[in-house]
Amino acid sequence: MSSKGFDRRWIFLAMGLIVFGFLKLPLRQPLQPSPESRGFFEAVEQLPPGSILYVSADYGPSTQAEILPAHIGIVYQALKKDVRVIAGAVWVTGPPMIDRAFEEANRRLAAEGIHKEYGVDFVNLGYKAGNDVAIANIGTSIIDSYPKDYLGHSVETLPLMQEVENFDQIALMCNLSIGSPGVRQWLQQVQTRYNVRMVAAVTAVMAPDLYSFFQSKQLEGFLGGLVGAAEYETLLETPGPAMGGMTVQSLAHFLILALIVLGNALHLRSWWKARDTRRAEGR
Amino acid sequence: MLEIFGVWVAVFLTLAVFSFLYKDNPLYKLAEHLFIGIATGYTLIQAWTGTLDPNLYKPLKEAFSGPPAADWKEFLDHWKRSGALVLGILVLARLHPRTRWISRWPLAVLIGTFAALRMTGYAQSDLVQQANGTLVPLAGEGLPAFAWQGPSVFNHATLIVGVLCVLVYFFFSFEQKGVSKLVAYVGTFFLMVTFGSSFGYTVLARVSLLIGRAQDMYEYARPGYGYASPICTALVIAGLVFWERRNRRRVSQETEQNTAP
Repeated sequence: MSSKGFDRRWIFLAMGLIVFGFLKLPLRQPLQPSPESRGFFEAVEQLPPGSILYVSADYGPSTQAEILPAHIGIVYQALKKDVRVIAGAVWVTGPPMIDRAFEEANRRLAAEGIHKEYGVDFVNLGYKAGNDVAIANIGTSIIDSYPKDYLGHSVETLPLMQEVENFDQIALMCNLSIGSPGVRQWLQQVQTRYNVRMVAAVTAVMAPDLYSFFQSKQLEGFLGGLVGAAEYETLLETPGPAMGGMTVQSLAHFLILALIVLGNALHLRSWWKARDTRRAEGR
Repeated sequence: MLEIFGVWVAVFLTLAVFSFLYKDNPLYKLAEHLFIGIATGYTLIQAWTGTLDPNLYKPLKEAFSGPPAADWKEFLDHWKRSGALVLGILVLARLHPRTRWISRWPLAVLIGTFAALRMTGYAQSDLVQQANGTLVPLAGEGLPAFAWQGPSVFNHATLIVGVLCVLVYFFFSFEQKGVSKLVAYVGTFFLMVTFGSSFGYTVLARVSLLIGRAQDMYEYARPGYGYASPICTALVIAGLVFWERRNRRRVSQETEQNTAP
């Protein structure tokens, strides 16, 4: 077999079979939370009851597999601790994700006998266009940037928003990000300017960029992709979709490792063959 | 009922997009065109309801219909958004060749504001704070010689050596030879580790997205959703088989016509 002429659809099929075939097996992979995931969890855990968490949901359905578990987790953890949550988005696809996270977190809380009220304990401010300028404006005045919430209520009529003018009243900022505008813009326009405590949950593609911000303590913690979300679910002690996908994730990685080894072995074999042919021909 | 309809649409479109892995086909094209149309419409509606209506239209409408301003401060507060409206209209001057030059004014305001915001934010966040984060101790009480994670002499030394070597690698003001060449060469190893970790994380991300869709597909295979996943899978496979057979028949007919005397 040579690597040339190999139909790559076999790789897609193998990956599909592994993911769909092993997803429902009752296997749980033990997870050791990383310092950055622990930092994310601790930042929320340290918030006093009554304080306010600002969540900017700058992602959409295309990456919900990676971000939504973390989103639900942070909303659940905050509301359970009586921390109030204000959520907005500078990505147009963010507001429905906010609704979904509040809905799921409230469903979990209701199962534990805890009931939270819209406008008093949590608010969905919706989408704000303008990228960096919008973020800078939100930093200056949340009320001015969002005269109305996602449902069309005037924010001045919401009890929670009557206590908030700008980031001086925000105890912690969490950015759920999949690109630009995202974590870097929130760090540049809000965290550095107003010295706000900040955490983030990002796609795995973005995670390597955030280690330097975690090391410099600009971010108190962050969750990188599905692994980060699974570690966070471990810390929350609430098994969710992220933990359920970890075993399959590892199996898929084994397949990719095997394919990398196989591809290199085939390449080396063809290289050796070509060398032997050249030698035999006396070139 | 509406939720179940939404689930069926979601499952069908997911499978239609996945069908591209076999080859480009009409089902994938249908999903692609639907996505572009819906995304454009959704963005327009969100821009109106989330930004233009509450931040521009309603304040200006209130300024027009409300009582006159009592002082200059109130007057400016009422009408400050009209400046944004004027600048926005000036952008549309691009549509005519003779008035195109006017659109440079609002663009100049936009670029100037953006550049100033980015510059100050970037300098503080990515330069000052990052440089500050690199100033770590190499010795001290309580600092272990080695640790797998967190502060240690080894980790701090690796950080400092890595930063310096990569900075030298990207220093192009003079030809790198001798010691600087060696340092830059070490820097490439740090860069390779960075690229490797980025690639690993990218693989992780792509597999995670597939797992997410697989979890949803399993969820929607339940009777409560009318067995949406298995039925849609069968429909998409049947559609692909039909399309492939029709394609092959057409190709064979064309070949016969071309080879006919």
